[in-house]
Amino acid sequence: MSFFELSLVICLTLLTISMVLSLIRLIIGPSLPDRIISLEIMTFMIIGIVGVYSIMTGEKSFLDVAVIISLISFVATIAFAYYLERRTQR
Amino acid sequence: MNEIAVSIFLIMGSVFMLLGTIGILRMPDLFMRMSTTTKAATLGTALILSAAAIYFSNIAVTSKVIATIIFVLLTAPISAHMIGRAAYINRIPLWKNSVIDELSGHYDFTTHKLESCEDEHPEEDLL
Repeated sequence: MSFFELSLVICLTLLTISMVLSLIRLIIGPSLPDRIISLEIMTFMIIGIVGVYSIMTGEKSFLDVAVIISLISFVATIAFAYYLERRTQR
Repeated sequence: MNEIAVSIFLIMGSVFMLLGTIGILRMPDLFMRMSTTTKAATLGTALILSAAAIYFSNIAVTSKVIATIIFVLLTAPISAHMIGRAAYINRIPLWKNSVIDELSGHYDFTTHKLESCEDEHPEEDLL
């Protein structure tokens, strides 16, 4: 196994560990905004995993998925923030 | 040579991602946690995507990667600002050892307007 393949495996391992840690914050998060930012950092990690996977398989078109996921994550976070703000007005 | 650069970028990016997540788990306060997600995770994403751009060395891939990085750099502070404002309006508590809360008394919690001074009618002072 060359240094390049080893670095791909290390990168995927670190990203998986980060995902598990942010899942812990998603479960124990004391308030709703904690859970929202944990979901947001999870989508960043999914973008990273897509990038590593496209390098691993040599398939360029997987990077389109990263673009779409970043768009959807922004819209989802803004929608959650609007919901949080409106929730207090009642 | 090219593969060594890709490996270094990948490992640096995933280490920054891991640091951001350790921050989100260890920080005592929502607002401190938000700072780690917007800085470390954005930098990690940008590094991993630029590793893909170096690996493929293709103009289509490079332009796609640059568009994604610029989009992430623009939208991460905006979404963090929106969530922080909504959390402050929801009265999420600060850390108990926090020194200063510069927004206290400046937010109207019913209309969600930000006031710069506590004076009700500042235009009367000018007359």
